[in-house]
Amino acid sequence: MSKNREIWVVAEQRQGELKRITLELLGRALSLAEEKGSQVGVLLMGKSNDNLCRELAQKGADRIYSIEGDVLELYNPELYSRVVAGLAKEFEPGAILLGATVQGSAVSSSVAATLRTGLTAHCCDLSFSEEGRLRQVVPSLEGYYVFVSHSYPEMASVSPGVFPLLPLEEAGKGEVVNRELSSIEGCLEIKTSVLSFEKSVKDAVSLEDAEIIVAGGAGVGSAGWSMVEDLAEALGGVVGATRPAVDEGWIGHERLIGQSGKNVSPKLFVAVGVSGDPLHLSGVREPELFFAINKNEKAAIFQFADYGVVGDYRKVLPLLIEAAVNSR
Amino acid sequence: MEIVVCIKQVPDPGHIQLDPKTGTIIRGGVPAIINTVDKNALEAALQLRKINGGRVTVVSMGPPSTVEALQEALALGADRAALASDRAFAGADTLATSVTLAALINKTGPFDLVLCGYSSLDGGTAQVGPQTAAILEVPFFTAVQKMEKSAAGIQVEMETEEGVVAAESSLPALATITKGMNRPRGIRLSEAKKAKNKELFTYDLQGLGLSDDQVGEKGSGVCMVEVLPLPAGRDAEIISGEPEEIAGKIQGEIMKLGLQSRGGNK
Amino acid sequence: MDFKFNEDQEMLSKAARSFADEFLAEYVEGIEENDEMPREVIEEAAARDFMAVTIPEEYDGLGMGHLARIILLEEISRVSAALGMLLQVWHLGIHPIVRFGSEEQKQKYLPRMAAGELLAGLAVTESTGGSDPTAVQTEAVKDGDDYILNGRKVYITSSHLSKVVGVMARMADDPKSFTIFLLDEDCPGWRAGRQEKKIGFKGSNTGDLIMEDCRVPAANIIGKIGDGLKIGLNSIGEVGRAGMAAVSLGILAASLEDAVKFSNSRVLGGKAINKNQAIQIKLADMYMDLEMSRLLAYKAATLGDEGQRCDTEMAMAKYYSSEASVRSAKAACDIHGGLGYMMETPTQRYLRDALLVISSAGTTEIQQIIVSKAAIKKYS
Repeated sequence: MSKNREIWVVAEQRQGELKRITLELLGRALSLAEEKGSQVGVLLMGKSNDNLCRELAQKGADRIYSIEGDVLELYNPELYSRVVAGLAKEFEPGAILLGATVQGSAVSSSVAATLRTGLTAHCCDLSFSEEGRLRQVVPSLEGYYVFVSHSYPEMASVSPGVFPLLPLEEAGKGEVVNRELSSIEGCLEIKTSVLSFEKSVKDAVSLEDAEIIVAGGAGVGSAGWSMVEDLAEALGGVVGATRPAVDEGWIGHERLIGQSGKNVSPKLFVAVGVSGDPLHLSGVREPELFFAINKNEKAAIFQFADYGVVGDYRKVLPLLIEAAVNSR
Repeated sequence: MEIVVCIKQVPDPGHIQLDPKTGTIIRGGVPAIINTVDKNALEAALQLRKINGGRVTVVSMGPPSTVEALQEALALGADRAALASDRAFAGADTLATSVTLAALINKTGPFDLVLCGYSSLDGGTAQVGPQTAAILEVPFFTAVQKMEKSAAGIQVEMETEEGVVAAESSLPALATITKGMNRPRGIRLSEAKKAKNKELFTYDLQGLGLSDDQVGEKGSGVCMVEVLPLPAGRDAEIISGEPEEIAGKIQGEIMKLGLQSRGGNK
Repeated sequence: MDFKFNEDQEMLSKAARSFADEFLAEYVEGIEENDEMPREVIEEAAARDFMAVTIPEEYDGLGMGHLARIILLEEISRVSAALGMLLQVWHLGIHPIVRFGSEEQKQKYLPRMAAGELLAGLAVTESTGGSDPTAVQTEAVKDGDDYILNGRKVYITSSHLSKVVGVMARMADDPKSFTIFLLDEDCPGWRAGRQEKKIGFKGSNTGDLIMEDCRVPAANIIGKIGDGLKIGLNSIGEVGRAGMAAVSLGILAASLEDAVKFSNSRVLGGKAINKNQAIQIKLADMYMDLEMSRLLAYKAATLGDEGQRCDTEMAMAKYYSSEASVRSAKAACDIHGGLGYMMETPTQRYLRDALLVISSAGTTEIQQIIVSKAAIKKYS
C-alpha cells in the first residue's frame, strides 16, 4: 500500500541557503524513488522560500511543500516538529529522511514519537529490501546494523557526508505546494519562541572539506595535544578527533569524526593515538594515504591504515612537524 | 521547581572489547557507569534547584542493577529517584524507551522541567530526549549549553552546527544538555551518606499502567534484521627504525601524494 | 567473618575512585614535574569531605572509622600516592584531637578541619631519629599559664602546609615526661624550615618545623602533661601505620593494573607477553601481595573500628604491604622492560614512592620488633 507514497526529505536552510546535507539527501531520495517507482517530496520551512523552491525543483524534487512565515526563519524545535508531523499526517509519505544534525535529530525524534513510528539515527546507507522496506544501515563497533521500521512513514536521520551531491540538473518540473502555517495541525499553540541566532565563527576549511586531516585520539593525552595541532598546521591540514578526545575536552565537539560527528573524505589521514574504534573509522571515507601512530601494536587502527608506526607519537611528531615545515 | 533528570546506565566505553574471533562486543563483565553527559544534566538540575528551590527527581529505565546509577545520582545530590524495570522493557528502541520514561515521569508527579543528556555513549542517537518530550506533549530544546529560569518559563541557548540559537518557552518543558554547560560535581561524602535515606521507587509494567505492546521489543518502531561485516582493512605496513627514519619515510610518502598545502589552519 | 564493605564504605570507595580517575589523574603529571600539590587539588579533596572522614559527626565530620579511611586512601594512592600521603598525615594530625582532645579543642579545631580550612599535622621525629621518640630534644618550659617551646622537628610531612600541628616536646622540669602541644596560628614562634628533596612522593612536602621561643597556651595541651608518648605512639601506631598501609595498597593496585594492561598489549614473538609463564608468575605474586596486604589492613582496621587494640595488626599490615609495594612496583617496572625505567611510564614513580613507605610511620625493622614482641607474648 505504500508503493507509491512519496519519499520525503526535510530540508534544512540557514539564512536562505540550503545546507549541503539536504542536497545529499535529495540525491539519495531520488535514486530510491526511482527504484520504487515513487516520487520525492521536499519539505521546506523558511521566511521566504521562492529561491529555494526553484533550486530544489531544478535539482529534481517532484514536489516541494513550502511553508513560509517569519516565525519559521530561525530553527524552532517545537514549531518545526509540529509542521513536519502535521504535514506527514495530512499527506502520509512513505518515508521521511532528515540530516543527522542537531536540528534533524531533534525534529525527526519529535515527529517519529508524535506519529508513533520507528526512527533510525546516523544512517550511513539506505536501500530497499525485496519486500520494499527501507533498510536503514547504521555503523556500530561490531559491524553495520541494518534496521527496518514496523510502520509508515519509515524515518531515518542520515549522517552528513555519506551520500554524494548530485550533479546540477535542469529538470525544474517540481510542483510547489504552499501551505499556510495556520492550517497545519497544532501550529497555533506553540509555546516556544526563538529569540536570536548567533552565527559561530567558521573555520577557513571545514573538516568535511579538508584534504589533510590529523586526528588525535585517547592515546594523545592533554599534555601532547598541541603536537597534533602543530602537525596539522605544518601539513596545511585540519585537526580531527575521536570521541574520547572530545569527551576529555582536549578539543571541541565540532572536531569529532565518526558517529554523531563528521564524515570526512580527506586525501591524507594521519591518526595519532587512535585505537581504531569502528564508530570513529566509519566517518573516515577512503583516504588515499592513511598513517597510524599508536603505542599499542595490537591496536585495531593498524588493520585499516596503509602505514603504521608502533611507538610513542611524541618522538615522531616533532620530526614530522619539522620536515613538513621545511618542505613548504 | 520540580525538575526530573533522565539518566542512563551505559557500559564504560574504556572497557568495551570485541571478541577477536567473532568480532562481536563482549557484553559480560563491562563495568557500568552513568552516561557522562547525563551528569551534566544532573548538575544543571542541582544548580537550578540551588537558585530556584524545589526538588530534583532522577529517573531511569533498565535492569534492576540500574539502581546503582540512581544511587550515585542521589549521592550527588538528587532528592529522590524512580526506576522503570521489567523484563517487558527489554529490547526497547528509543520510541519504546521514551514511552516508558514518559509514563515513569508522569508517575513521579507534576513537573516543571525534564532534563536529559544530549546523547548516550552507547546508542548515541540523541533521540530519547525529544521523543520523550513529544510523548509528554511539552516543548523541548536540544543541545542546550546555557539555561536559566525566566519570567516566561525557561530560557536556553542551543548549540547547532552553524551557531547558537537562543529560545524561550513556558513550563513544563524538556531540554537535553551538552557537556559545555557545566562541570559536573564529584560525590561529596556528606551528601552521599544521606543518599541511603532518600526515596527510590521501582515500577514495573503494571505499575506504570502500560501494556506490553507499548514497551520493549514489542513496542519498538524499528527492529534490527541483519549485521553486515565491517569492510576489510588495508593492513598497515609497519614502519620501524629510529624516529628520524620513520619521520623521513612518512614525509616521503606524503610528498608522493602531491598535495597542495592550503596553509595552516587549526 | 564478613568480607564485604557496608553500604557507606561502598559509596566511599566509589566516590574516591571517581575523584581519583576523573579529577586527580589529570594533575599527576604536573605534580611530578613541579613537585607541588596544586591548590585546587587540595580544595577539591576538601570539598568532597575527604578531610572529614574520621571526624565525629557532632563536629561536622563523617565519623566513618579506620576501614573507611583505608578504602579512601587506597583509591587515592592508586592514582597519586602523594595526595594519599597528604591526606594520611592530615588524618594523623586530626586523630589526637578526636581521641584525646578536650571539648574546647574539638569545638575549636574539628569543624574547620572537616571543611579542609585547617590542615593538621603531627610532629614527633627529630634529628635524633624517628624510631626512638624518647630521644626527642624539643623542650617545653612553663611560663605562667603558657609554655615556651624550643626545638626542631625533621622529616615532617606537610611541614609547609599544616596550619595546626601537634608537636611532641620533653618537659624541662621532668625529662622523662613528654607532652603533645597543639601549635596553631595564634602561637607565635614556630615556622617551617628546610624543605627536603626526595626521590619520590613528589608533591608531598617534607621538611623541618622550627620552634624558637614558641609560646603555647596550656589550653593547647592534648590530654595532660606527660601523656605525650602514649598519644604519639597511639596515633602513629593506629592511624599513621594504617595510612601507610593504605598508601601501599594504592601503589600495589596501580602496579598490578599497569602490569596487566601492558603485558596484555605488548606482543613479542607474535603473542602477548602475559602468555609466558615468566610473566604470569610475576602477575600471580603481585596479585597475591595486593590481596594479602588488603586482608591484613582491612582486618586491623576492622578491629580498630570495633574498639579493640589493633597496634600489632597495624604493624603487620604496614610491614607487609610496604615491602610488598616495593616488590610489586619493581615487578611492574621489570614487566615493562626498558620502558618501565622511563619517566614517561608511571611504574618508575610507583617504585620511587614505594621506597618511602618503608621508612614512614616506623621502619620495617620497628614493625618486626612490634610483631615479634606480640608473638613472644602470645606463644610463650
